[in-house]
Amino acid sequence: MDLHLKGISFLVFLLLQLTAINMYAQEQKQATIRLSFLQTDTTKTCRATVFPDSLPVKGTEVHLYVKRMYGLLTIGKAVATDENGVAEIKFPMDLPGDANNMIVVIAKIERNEIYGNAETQSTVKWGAVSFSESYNWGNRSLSASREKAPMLLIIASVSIILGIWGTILYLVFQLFRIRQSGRGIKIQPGTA
Amino acid sequence: MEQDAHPGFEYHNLLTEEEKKQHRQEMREVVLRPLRHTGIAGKLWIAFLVIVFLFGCYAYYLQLKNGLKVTAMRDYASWGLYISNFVFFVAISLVGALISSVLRLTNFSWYRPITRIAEIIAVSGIIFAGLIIIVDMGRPDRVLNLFTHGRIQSPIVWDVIIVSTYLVMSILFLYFPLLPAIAYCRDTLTEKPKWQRWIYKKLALGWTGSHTQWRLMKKSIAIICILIIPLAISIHTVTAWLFATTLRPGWDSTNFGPYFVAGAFQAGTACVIIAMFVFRKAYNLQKYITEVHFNQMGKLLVFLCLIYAYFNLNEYLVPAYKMRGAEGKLLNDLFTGHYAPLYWSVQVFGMALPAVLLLWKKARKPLPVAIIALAVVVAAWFKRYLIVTPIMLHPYTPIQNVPANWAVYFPTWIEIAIVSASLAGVLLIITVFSKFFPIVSIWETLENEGIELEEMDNPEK
Amino acid sequence: MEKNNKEDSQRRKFLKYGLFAGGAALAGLGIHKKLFADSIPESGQKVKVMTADGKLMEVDSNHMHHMAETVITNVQAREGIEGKKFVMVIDMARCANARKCVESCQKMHHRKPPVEWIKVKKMQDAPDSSPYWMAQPCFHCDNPPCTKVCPVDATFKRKDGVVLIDNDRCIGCRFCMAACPYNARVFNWGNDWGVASKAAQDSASAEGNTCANNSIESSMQDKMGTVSKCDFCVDMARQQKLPDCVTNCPNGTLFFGDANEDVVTNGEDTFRLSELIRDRGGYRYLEELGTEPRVYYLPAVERQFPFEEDKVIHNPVE
Repeated sequence: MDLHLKGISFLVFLLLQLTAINMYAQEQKQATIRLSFLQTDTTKTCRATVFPDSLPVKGTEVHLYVKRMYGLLTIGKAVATDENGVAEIKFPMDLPGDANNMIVVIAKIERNEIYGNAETQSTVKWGAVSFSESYNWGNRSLSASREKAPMLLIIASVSIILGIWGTILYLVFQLFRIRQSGRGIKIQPGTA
Repeated sequence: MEQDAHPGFEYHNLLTEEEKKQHRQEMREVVLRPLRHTGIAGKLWIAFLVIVFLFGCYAYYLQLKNGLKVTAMRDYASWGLYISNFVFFVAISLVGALISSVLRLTNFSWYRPITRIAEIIAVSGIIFAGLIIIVDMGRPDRVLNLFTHGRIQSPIVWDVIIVSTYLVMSILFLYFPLLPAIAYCRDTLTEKPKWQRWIYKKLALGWTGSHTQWRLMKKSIAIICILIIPLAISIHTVTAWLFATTLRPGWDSTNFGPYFVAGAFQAGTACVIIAMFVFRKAYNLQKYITEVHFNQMGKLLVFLCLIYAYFNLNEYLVPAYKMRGAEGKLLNDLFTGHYAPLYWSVQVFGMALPAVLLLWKKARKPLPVAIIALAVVVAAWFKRYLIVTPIMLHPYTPIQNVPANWAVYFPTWIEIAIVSASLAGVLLIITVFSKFFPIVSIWETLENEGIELEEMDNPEK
Repeated sequence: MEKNNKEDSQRRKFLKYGLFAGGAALAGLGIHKKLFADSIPESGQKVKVMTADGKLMEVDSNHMHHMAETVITNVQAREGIEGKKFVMVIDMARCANARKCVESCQKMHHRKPPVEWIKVKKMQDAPDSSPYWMAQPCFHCDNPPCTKVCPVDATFKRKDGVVLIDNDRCIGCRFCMAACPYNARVFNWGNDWGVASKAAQDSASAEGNTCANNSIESSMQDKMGTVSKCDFCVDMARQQKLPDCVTNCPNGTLFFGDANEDVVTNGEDTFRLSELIRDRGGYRYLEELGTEPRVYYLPAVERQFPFEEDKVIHNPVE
C-alpha cells in the first residue's frame, strides 16, 4: 500500500513538473531580433541576430520588410539563422526612401513553431534614389494652372490684345471726334 | 442746290445736272421706302420670326430647369447641335470681312451696294454665336468665371477674346459707313415716332457731312479694313482649333484652320446672295442691286466653292488613303455607312454642283443663283454637324456598357427649337435693322455709280 | 497753327480719358481678384483644426463641414500631398470582369449606374487576337490634354500626380471631355443625375463609405452641369487607405502605390513598381498619344481565368 501511494504520488509529481516545465518553457519562447546594417561599395546587407533570452538561436526563419505607405514590401527571401543566430539578407541597392533618404526596415519572425511572432524595426539612411519633385509640377506649361502659363503665350496674347483693343479704343475716340466736329456747324440737308 | 462738300464724290459727265439730281432723289426715295412702310408680307415675316424665337426661349427655360439631359447629348456625344450651330454662325460672320473689307481694298467697286448687307449678317451671326455657346454651357450662371479665372492656355478663352473683339470691330465696321445714312434718316423721317427720331439723333453723332467728318470716317474705315481681315481669319481658325487641339481621330488634323476659313467664306457669301435676292425683291431695289451684282457674286461663289473643295480633298482624301484605325472606321461611316446619305448630299449639293452650275452665265441670274446659294447654306449647316458629332461617336476606346441612346445622337425637340430660335434671331436682327436703316449704302453707291456700273454690261434698261 | 493746337488738345483728352479708364479697370480687377480668390467664399471666422498629418492650422469656418474628419482647403487640394507620386498598375491577367471595382467606386462616391468613373471594357487588339477585360479609370496623365483646355482652371494637376476637378468652378463647357482620348470623364446632365438614392447613400455611409474630407479631394460635390471622374481616392490616401476599387477586386487586379517609393500593392501582394513593370511587360494605353498616363497595364498573358463573355447587359437604361 505504501509503495503504491508513493508510486502514484511520484508520477503525479513528475506530471506536475513536466507541465510546469512546459509552461515555463512556453513563457520563455520569446525571441528578440537585433538588426544591424552593413554597407560596402556594391552591397547592402541587413544582419538580423535572433536572441531568445540573450542566447543566439539557430535555424529560425527571419523575414525582412521595408515599411511603405500602404503596407510592407518584402525584401528578398526568408533566411534561416545560422549557428550564431544571425541571418543575413541582401538589401537592394536602388530602393527609394523618404525625403531624407531614410528607410524603415522591419525584421520579423512569423509563426515560428518555437518562438511564435517577433519583430523589430529600425531606420537606416539607405534610400537610394533621391526624392525629386515629379514631372515639372510648378513649371510653366500649357497644362498648368493659370498663373503658370507659358511666358511666350502670355506675352504674345497680351500684346495682340493690347494692340487690337488699343486700335478699337482709338476708333471709338474717332467717333467722339466726329461728334465734336459736328457741333457748332450749321446742319445741312443730308448727303446720305 | 445742295452743297456736296465731301471729297471723293465723282460723277459721270454724261448726265446733266438735273438728271443727276433726279437720280439721287429717286435712289433716296426707293432706299428709304422700306423704312417708312412695311407691307403685310413683312409684318407676317417678323411675326413668324418672333414666334419661333419665343418658342426657343421657352425651350431654353426648360433646359435651364432640368439640365442638359433634355438634349440628346450624353457622355460620348457630349457636343451636339449647339456646337455645330455655333461653328456655323462664326462661319457666316466672316463674310463681313470678306465683302466689306477685302473687296474694298481691292477696289472691286461693284460690291458697294451690298457691304451693309454683308456687315449686318456678320454682326448678327456673331451675336448669336456668342448666345448659342452660352446655351451649350452646363452652368451658364458661372459664365463670369471665364473672366475671373480664365486660363490663357485654353482655346476656349482664345475664342471668347477673339469673338468679342470681332463683334466690336464688326459693329464699328457697320457703324462708321452708316453715319451719313443715319443723318439722312434723322433729317428726312420726320413722321417717325419720337423715340425712333431720338435714336437717329443720338446715333448720327451730329453728322453734317463736313470735310472733317468725312475725313475721320474714311480714315477709320480704312483702319478697320486692314485690321479686320486678320481678325476674321483668326476667329475661324481659333474656332477650328477647338477641335484640332484635341486628340480625337477626325479632329486631330493640321488642316482644320484653313479648312474652316475656306468653308466660312463660301457659306457666308452664299448667305449674302440670298439676302441680296430677298431684299431686292421685297424692297424693289432692282436698280441698285442689279443683275451685274448677282453675276459677280455667282462668280465669287464658284471661286470659293472650288477653294473649299480643295480643302475638303485634303481633309478627307488623305486620311482615306491611309485608313488608319479609328479614322478608318469614321471615314467608312461617312463615305458608305450611317452618315453616307447626309455626307454625299452635303458635298454634292453644297459644293460640287454649285461650283459646276454657276459656270454658266444663265445660272448667275438672280433667281437661279439665289436658289443655288440656298442649297449651299443649308449644306453648310449640315456639314458643320458632320464635323462635330460623328467624330465624338468614334472615340479610341470602344463604347460599351451604356444605354442605347448614349451610342447615337439625334437631337431632341428642345435642341431643334433652340437652334431654330437662334436662326430666327439672326434673321430678326437683319430684318429689323433693314427697317430702321437703309440696307443699301447710298453714299457709297453714288460715289462710284456713274463710272463703275456704266463700264460693266448694263442689263438694266 | 490752330489745327495743331486742336489736335494737341484732342490728344491730351484721349490720354486723360485713357488713363482714367485704365486706372478704373485696374482697380476693378484688383477688387475682383480679392472677391474671387477662392471657390468657396470665406466667412472671415477662423477655426483651429488638426490635420491628418498632425499639423495644427487655422481654417475659415466656411470650409468646415459637419461630416468631415479633416479639412482640406482649396489651396491644399490644388497643391496635393507632399512627396507622393501616385501610380496604378492593372494586371489584366487577373481581370475576370467581376465589376466589383465599378460597383464599389459607385458606392463610395454615392453614384449610381450608368455613371461609371472606372469602366471595365472588353478589348480586342486585333481581329484574330484574343479579347480581354480592361479596367479603365482616369489615367491622371502627366501631360494631361484635359487640364490644357479647361477655360476656367476647374480641372488641374497636383504635385502628387492626381488630376482633380473643382465642381464649384466648372462651367460645364465639356471641352475636357472632348479632349480626353480615353473618355475618362462623365458629365452630370441634370438634377440628381447618377446620384445614388438617399437610402443607398445612407447605407453606404453606415458601412463606412463616406467622404473622408469635404473638399475637392473627396469629389462628393455633385453639381448639375459639371464634369466628374475618377480621383484616385486621394482623400483616402491621406489616411493611408487604398482606393475602394483596389481593395474590392476579388482577384487583386488593381495595384496602387507611390512611384516615389517604387511600390504598388493590391491590399495583399506588394511589389516593387519598377520590377513589376519590367518583369511583366507593363505598358500604357495609347502611349503614342503622348499623354503620359500614370496607369500601367500588365498584358493579359498567362491568365488566371479564361476569357468569358458578359452574360448580363450592363446599364441598359439611364
